[in-house]
Amino acid sequence: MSEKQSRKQITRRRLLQVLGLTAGGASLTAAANKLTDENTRRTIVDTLGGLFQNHFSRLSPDEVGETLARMERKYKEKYKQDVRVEATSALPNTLFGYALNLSRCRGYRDCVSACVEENNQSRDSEIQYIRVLEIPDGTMNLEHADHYYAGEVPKPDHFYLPVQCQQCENPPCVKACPVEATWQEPDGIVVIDYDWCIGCRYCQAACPYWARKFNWNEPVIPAESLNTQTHYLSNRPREKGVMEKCTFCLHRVRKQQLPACQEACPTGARVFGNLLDPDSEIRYILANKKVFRLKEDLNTEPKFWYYAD
Amino acid sequence: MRQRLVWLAVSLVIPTVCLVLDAGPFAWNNDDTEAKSPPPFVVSKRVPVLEDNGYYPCSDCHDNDSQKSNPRMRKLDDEHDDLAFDHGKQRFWCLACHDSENRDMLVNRGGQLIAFDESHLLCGDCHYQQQTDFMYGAHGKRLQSWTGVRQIVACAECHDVHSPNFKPREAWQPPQARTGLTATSVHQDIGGVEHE
Ligand code: HEC
Ligand code: HEC
Ligand code: HEC
Ligand code: HEC
Repeated sequence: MSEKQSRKQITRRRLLQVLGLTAGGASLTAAANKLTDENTRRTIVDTLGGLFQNHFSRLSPDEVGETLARMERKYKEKYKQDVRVEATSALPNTLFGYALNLSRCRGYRDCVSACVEENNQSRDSEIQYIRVLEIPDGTMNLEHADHYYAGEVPKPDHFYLPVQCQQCENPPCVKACPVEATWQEPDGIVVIDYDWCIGCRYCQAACPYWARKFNWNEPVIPAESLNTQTHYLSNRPREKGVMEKCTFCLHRVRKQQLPACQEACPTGARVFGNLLDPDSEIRYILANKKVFRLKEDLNTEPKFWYYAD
Repeated sequence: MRQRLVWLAVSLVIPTVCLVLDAGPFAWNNDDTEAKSPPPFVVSKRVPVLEDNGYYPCSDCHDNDSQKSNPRMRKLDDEHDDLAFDHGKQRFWCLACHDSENRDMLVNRGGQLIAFDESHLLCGDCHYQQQTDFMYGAHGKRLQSWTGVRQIVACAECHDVHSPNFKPREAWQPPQARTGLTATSVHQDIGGVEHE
């Protein structure tokens, strides 16, 4: 609340900045609009629009519409196909949570594979939202877990613990961001405005779960495997130099679908649901299984539980 | 003295009342989550799959006339010879689950017939905990949507009922090290900044 208020207190400096930028942007855009060649005009207007785009939460509904349309044009040019960029907002009375049964998970990494494709992650880099840790039975040392294992699984005497963004109720990454490019949505999902992110990676350092990834390189996504159903706050293609992370497939779950990792898991280890629904599976698990969360002592209050039975 | 008597009365009377009424902090049965019946669900159908495999209806062959039921535990070779049975460590055989009279149906411990589409009702005879978890959503898998009536996967879709343990399998590729870095160079080569 106090953060919100401080944002509203416009300082003189900020006011001048905004006025200056808006005036500059408006006159440039107006000048560009006079250009006759339709294609050049569009490109220039779009480039300027991208340059002067405001923070997502401060865009008016009209501006959101324009922004999405501009992005769709940009992606169409880049990937030579129609890409849909949506901005569906959080559903009422939902708070998403995940539970994962460690006695079911067998380390196949089917969830990782599905996640990469669903979320348009660069195929050429280290970016994967889910890291499956292979841990010797009877131990629980995350530092000594191996996530580069390969070959036939499960290995004898090992168990598997997938880690992804834990959608903390008290997210340290959000506090670390100096420009408010990342925040928590009403359905509990922590999101990033990729166009507001300055790539400082403070959030990456603040996250105790290694959930945030940085685009060191220009992301590489073969056009034929691009997922063209995207959301502004989740799986639209990113640029070099920004952060990204798991959003529980926000673009799917806000349409009442299940996250791609849940759908891909052949063992049923993953249980996704609405924590506010007392009849949901996840609520049954929280009430009846011995659940735990990672690094609970840090008081991050993850909405991601593990259990075994 | 009088105060002590009051305390004594309170400490005896409250728990007794609670126990008798089965309510409050000293109730017998405080665990009311189990008692709540599972939210409604729809299990994925199996009969179409059996039909695709060319075996259903079973009664096409198992007509109790030319093909009579044979309860003797034996190696099958006239038919079903590709069915490798490995369930229950040889403590039971086919007719523990398949009805001997009506081969189109399964049969539970109590002799009740169960359709192939409802096999989860059969498994619970011997796997009560897994069946309970399945009905409440802690074992098995949900399809399509996290909300509304639950569509869930049948036991037989994940477990080969005749050899139900999961077999080891190849994992999907491991993550790559960052472009430009190899596993060995990771520690020396982080541009400019000296680590450790
Ligand atoms: C193509 C004909 C055919 C069909 C269809 C068929 N069976 Fe059979 N089944 C046989 C024959 C023949 C045997 C005996 C094999 C032997 O003794 O070597 C047999 C044996 C069995 C047995 C061993 C017990 C007994 O009575 O001999 C079981 C159990 C069984 N079948 C179940 C099924 C079920 C369940 C289906 C349907 C899903 C089915 N069968 C469909 C031909 C068939
Ligand atoms: C634990 C219970 C159980 C036992 C024991 C069992 N079955 Fe089955 N069987 C089933 C169930 C349940 C199905 C339906 C499977 C499905 O939905 O895919 C089935 C399906 C079948 C089918 C059709 C399979 C297909 O792939 O189309 C045949 C044939 C069959 N059983 C034969 C046998 C024979 C022969 C034996 C003994 C060697 C046997 N069963 C033992 C539970 C059992
Ligand atoms: C007649 C009793 C009985 C029925 C009915 C039955 N099972 Fe079993 N099942 C057993 C026994 C006994 C074992 C072996 C347990 C052990 O390892 O001691 C077993 C083991 C299993 C295992 C563990 C296998 C492993 O090696 O880890 C699975 C999975 C399983 N059953 C699934 C099913 C499913 C699915 C059904 C319903 C189609 C079913 N069972 C029906 C008795 C039964
Ligand atoms: C979504 C897939 C899925 C479904 C559906 C499913 N299981 Fe399982 N089940 C598993 C996995 C995975 C394991 C762990 C197997 C392993 O590690 O060997 C398991 C293990 C088991 C075991 C071994 C004991 C244990 O708890 O680990 C039993 C018994 C069992 N299941 C019975 C059932 C029964 C009965 C049903 C239906 C009522 C069912 N399962 C439905 C995936 C499934």
